[in-house]
Amino acid sequence: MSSELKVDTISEKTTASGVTIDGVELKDGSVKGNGTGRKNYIINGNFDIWQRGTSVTGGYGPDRFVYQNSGSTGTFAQGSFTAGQTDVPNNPKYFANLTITGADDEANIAHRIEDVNTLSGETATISFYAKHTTNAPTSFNITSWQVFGSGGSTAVNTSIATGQTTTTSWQKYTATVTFPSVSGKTIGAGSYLEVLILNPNNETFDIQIAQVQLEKGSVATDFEVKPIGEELSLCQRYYAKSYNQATSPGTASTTVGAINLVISATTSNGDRNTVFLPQTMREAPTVTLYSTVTGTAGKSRIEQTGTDTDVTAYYIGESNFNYYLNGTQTATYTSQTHYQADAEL
Amino acid sequence: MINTVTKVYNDTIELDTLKVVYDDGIILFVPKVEGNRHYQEVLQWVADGNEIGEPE
Repeated sequence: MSSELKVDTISEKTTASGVTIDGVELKDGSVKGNGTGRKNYIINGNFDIWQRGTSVTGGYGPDRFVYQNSGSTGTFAQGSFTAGQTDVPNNPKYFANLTITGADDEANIAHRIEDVNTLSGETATISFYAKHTTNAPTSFNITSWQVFGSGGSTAVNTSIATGQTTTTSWQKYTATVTFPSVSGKTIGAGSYLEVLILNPNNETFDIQIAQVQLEKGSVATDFEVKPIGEELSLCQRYYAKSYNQATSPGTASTTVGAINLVISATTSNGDRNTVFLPQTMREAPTVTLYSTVTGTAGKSRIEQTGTDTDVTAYYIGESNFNYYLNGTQTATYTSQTHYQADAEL
Repeated sequence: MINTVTKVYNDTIELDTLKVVYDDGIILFVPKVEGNRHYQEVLQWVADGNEIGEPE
């Protein structure tokens, strides 16, 4: 026997407990999401992808996450969960570990979401797990910037939460914000919405974070786990490389994955090659080329001579770039080159 | 920190790419597009009084 119940709103009885429904069939409705069929605006929120390597002292570390500071020293590194742990659900493999060893009042972990129109005038909720290991931050804030790109309006800061504290155990943090509308703003190339976890206390500290999610609405739902292949593809819109995933760019003695060019030596700068990127990137990327043997930037390795030669990238587009070997080379020799392409915000 | 920025040529034709060398020796090839953050860094470097040079 079937029955029908018509209501406009079903609300939770207990605050933050949500509503449990035993089986759902959506006929013509939709579930709130980020417009791409996904609910999480954060890419690599599970910290599965580390194309630049597992530890950096500044800048981008895990894909899409950047460690920013105002002159402090620190490391932004990969941490590994113990297999089978249940403190953080969904069996994540990695977390991000920021260790600040020189006091700084602006040390933060930031994530930039392409296009400042994102979540304009909308309510959203950020959630993540966090803890410290040995040196607790006095407190940390969650904040955001709407950055309007080249020639755009002045950036707008919106606080999301302040005075957050950690323990040595993983805890889930959630905070809800309504981002200002971008109506009337001038938006230029390279605009973005940035969310930051920031320690303003001018101190040394460490903090670990995992499973970062930003979603529409005022409720933090379960973390959205994506297949690794899908997550990597999303990351490659912003960063790509020829090396294997576990190999940091610039690693010496790494021929696997390198691009070969058999030299014809017709003219000076005449030995040219085209490299196709794995994804169409956000913008024409900055390209760095490396010798396969020394790992030196700006060089390509000539296999037969055992020496590096200068190399130049040019005609850089969103889906491919070209390079030439500087000067005149020796016919039939082979050059071997690695690359990274960076279109991050 | 940026150390030098030079133009890039294909024979005698100037290309829409810049060669950027940092103090730590890292060499980047930066397309001259507004949405590229390294190009914005170069524009700021020029605004600070530095000049884009010719290749050696």
